[in-house]
Amino acid sequence: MPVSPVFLSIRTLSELIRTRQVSPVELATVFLDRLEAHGPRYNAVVTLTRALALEQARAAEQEIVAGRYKGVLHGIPYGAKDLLATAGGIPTTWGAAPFRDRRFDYDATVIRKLREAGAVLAAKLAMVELAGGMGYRQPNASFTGPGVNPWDTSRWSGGSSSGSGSAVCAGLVPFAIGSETWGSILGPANHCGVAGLRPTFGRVSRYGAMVLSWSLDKLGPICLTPDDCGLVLEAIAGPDASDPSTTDRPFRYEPAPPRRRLRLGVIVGVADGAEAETRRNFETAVKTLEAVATIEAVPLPVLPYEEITRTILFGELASAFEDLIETGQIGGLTAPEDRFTPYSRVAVLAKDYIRALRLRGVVVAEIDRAMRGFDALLGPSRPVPSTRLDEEFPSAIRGATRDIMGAIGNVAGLPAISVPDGFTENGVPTGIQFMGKAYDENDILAAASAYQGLTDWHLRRPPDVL
Amino acid sequence: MSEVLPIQKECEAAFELLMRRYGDRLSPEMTEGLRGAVEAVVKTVAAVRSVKLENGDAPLIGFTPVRKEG
Repeated sequence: MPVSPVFLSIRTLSELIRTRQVSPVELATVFLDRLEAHGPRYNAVVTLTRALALEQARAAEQEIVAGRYKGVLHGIPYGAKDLLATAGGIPTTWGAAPFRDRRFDYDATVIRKLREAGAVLAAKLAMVELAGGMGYRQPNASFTGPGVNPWDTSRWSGGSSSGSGSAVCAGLVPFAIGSETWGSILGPANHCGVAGLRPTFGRVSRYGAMVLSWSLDKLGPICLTPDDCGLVLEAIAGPDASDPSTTDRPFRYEPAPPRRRLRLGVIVGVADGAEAETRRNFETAVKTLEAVATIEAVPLPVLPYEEITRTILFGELASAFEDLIETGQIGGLTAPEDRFTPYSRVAVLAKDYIRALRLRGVVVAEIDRAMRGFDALLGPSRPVPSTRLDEEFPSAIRGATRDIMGAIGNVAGLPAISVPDGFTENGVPTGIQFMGKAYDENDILAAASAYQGLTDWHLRRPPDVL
Repeated sequence: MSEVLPIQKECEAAFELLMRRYGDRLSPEMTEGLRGAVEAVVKTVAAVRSVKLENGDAPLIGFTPVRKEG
């Protein structure tokens, strides 16, 4: 191999593969060995899929040699959050002890699409049990242990896509698939200093993915760069008869830089509840963006945004996990608080859930009006940076902190990307999010790329990962 | 229209109902934890109820009628 493939972008790796400077088998072997050697340090891996990966890599190699190159993901290894069903006897655990031996006999649509694009599944990656909807308050909420942050192993990688964030951050895979109901892609991307894209609701089929909330769940990529996120999104997006929520609107990634000055907005008070270093880095990032963008304050009407999203989430998860709750199987979960908190979600009345859905209509209309003319709205990706592994973290899902953009973005199904915007004195990253209008992923990818053209936060790597 | 139940009374009522259904599974520590979680849920829905809605404000629900061929 002419160069180390670790921390190379998908676009660079794919060119090395296409020109046959790097073989998919060599590449898979490098990342499988890294997953095996370093994965346990971060509690990042549930199942290493070495046999499948080598089989897929050999097939890719033969196809490429035969002149049947499929595109940029052909021969690229990746990891999938362990809530995506995989056939072939590979466990799909949802991060939860009661399901640690459960196997499906089919692949999730995302897994199938990536296979068809020639990507190589190297690992099922760790996650917070049941995607974090049970009320966990601290990182030790998965049977694989707390997600460990490669920037500081005494701190959390974020959740619920913990392994997806840390594996990309530590160079264990070139990209990973995560899921977000409220904060589960942007959170790990923030804490680990990588790029995490939450697509528009309905862009990516959830068939074969664990349901936490039918009307809030999204699947998306976690990568080193926004450009890589665009490449992966194009491969996994598209309608799917098995998931009626998917949209017919086509997505084609257009990586062209903006041809005009960007117009960006900042919701009034969006960083008010954020921790001081997070706020400072966000304000610096906004100033940096003034080189390429006009930035305006965006007022929003006063509405209980977080409470609306929370009510929908609680109502839907109480139904999605009814069996687990009613049978008492939640007693087998890892986090002590996950063994009783779900009972409280049963207290959401049907009329209140429906009221929240009616208010969702109001929020969708208001945010669409407010975003008219803007390429993206900006905000801190998370209100706080990575907390210690033994520490309770503030969560908007519990109402312990504010997250107006997370609440609005998820309840309205809007796309957002998080990229790093600095570091704290403790040496962990913070992130800025670019939230776009529905179906405008290209706009936020272009804006995030433009930001990274002005900064070098995304080029920094954690200590001791090479 | 019935009088709105004060939050504290609603918390107590919801907690009591949940304890009847699930209380035998809970340790004293978990029971206290559940009490706090119920209070958070009740406060959340109280905020949702505080917004005035019009009769025509429909819930945003995706639904597509299905008709199989034949």
